[in-house]
Amino acid sequence: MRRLRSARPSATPLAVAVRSRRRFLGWLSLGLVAGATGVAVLRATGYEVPADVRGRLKVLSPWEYVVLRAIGDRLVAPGEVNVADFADSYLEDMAASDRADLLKMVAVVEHGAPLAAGYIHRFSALSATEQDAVLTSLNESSLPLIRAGFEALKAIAFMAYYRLPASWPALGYPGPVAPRSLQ
Amino acid sequence: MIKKSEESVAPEVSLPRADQKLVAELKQSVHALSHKIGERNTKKHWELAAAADFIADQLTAAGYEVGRQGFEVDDVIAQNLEVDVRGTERGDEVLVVGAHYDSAPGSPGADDNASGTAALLSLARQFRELKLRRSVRFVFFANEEPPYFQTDRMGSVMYAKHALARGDRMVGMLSLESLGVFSDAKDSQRYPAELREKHPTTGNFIAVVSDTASAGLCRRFAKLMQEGGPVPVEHDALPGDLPGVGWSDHWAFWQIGVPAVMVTDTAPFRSAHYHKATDTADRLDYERMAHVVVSLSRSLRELANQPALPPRE
Repeated sequence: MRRLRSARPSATPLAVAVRSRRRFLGWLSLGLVAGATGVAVLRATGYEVPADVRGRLKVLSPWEYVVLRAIGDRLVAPGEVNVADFADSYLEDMAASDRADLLKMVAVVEHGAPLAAGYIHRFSALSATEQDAVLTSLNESSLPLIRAGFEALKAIAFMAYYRLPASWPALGYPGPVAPRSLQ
Repeated sequence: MIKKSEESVAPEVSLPRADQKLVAELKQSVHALSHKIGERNTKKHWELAAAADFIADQLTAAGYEVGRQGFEVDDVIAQNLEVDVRGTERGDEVLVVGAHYDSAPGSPGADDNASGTAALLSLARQFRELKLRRSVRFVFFANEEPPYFQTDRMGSVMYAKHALARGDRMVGMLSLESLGVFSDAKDSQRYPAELREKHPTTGNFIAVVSDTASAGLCRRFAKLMQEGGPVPVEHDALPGDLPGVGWSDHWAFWQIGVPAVMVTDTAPFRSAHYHKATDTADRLDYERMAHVVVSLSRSLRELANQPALPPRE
């Protein structure tokens, strides 16, 4: 092996360059995979959800809960309506395919949309102003699919807001004619 | 159908220059409602609520305390908004001036009816500090458009019933319905068959329209509007079931016995973009709109100060 190898005209500049490029590309691929894994791990961790909330989630994963809560805080009165709690119940009765689509949209908001809007951090880690900018970019997206997905998120946020008696006085709404228990 | 020349709404005749601050104000409101917010109705409930919040913000900034009347329609809480300028001598007599802020499905509703809403917002700003004998109330209605039109879920119907139930003494109602489309082109104005011989065929005027029972208020207000102002004013009191006569929120007030008239550019009888996606902010004539708002403001002040208003006949 050693003899044969040494006998090969491996010392030509072209062969050295090819070998170096292959080595470089190999390391680059490895680096990219490692980097992407690192970023993915970093972006998918660090979501703080209280243990009691985590324990009662029916549909949402903890990170989805955090993201939906953050989206809800920007779309409707911040802190007054917990959109994530409502969404966890509402999504339970939704068709599985619709639910999967909606949760994909949550991932888009959390990871894709901030990058597209020029932010390196995930949505839930952005400031309120930055989050508003990301949501506005989704609302005004040139892609119909993105706009439709965002419409669905807005609908959930709004349903959560409407159904909460605490938000009715601000709307001048006296409440349903018949109590909910009779409906 | 409307002639092609109707597409050009820019004034071709010489009109005095309108108050440019008012022109800018009207443009801004129409743009916010029809372009930034866009189509707004219960199918686009986010936008409907955004429009309500936009109006409420504008009124609050003008110094009003905004009253909201929320009501449930198709799993959505729609809202009417109201503000009052309390009268000094006959404060219990209320003159309602209203406009609907929702738009027809599929339309951004610049003329129908961001234009009427913008005019109402400007009037409200102008009236904030006025001392008038009679109370003037500015009301912004939801759900005028189909499928709620002339049903018990129409915003103005909900409002009229609500106001009646709480004992409001409403002595008259003006509905601002589509105020931004004008044309100097010949035959740019259409009518129901019965009216063709009676009114101009050039769509460069503003119309004051009512049913026959509100003829007194219609004549009185049209006369006030005709006193000065470069935009011609046509008026007519007609059978309420004639096409177009009851096509706005004034209809709701007829149902509870309040004299009510509509001030309008005649909407589908003039605009080729009525209820279409092409009813956009760039097609409106803001100069003439501003002239109309000035006339409305002056006429409304006079009406609110008159000793008595014509009752419903």
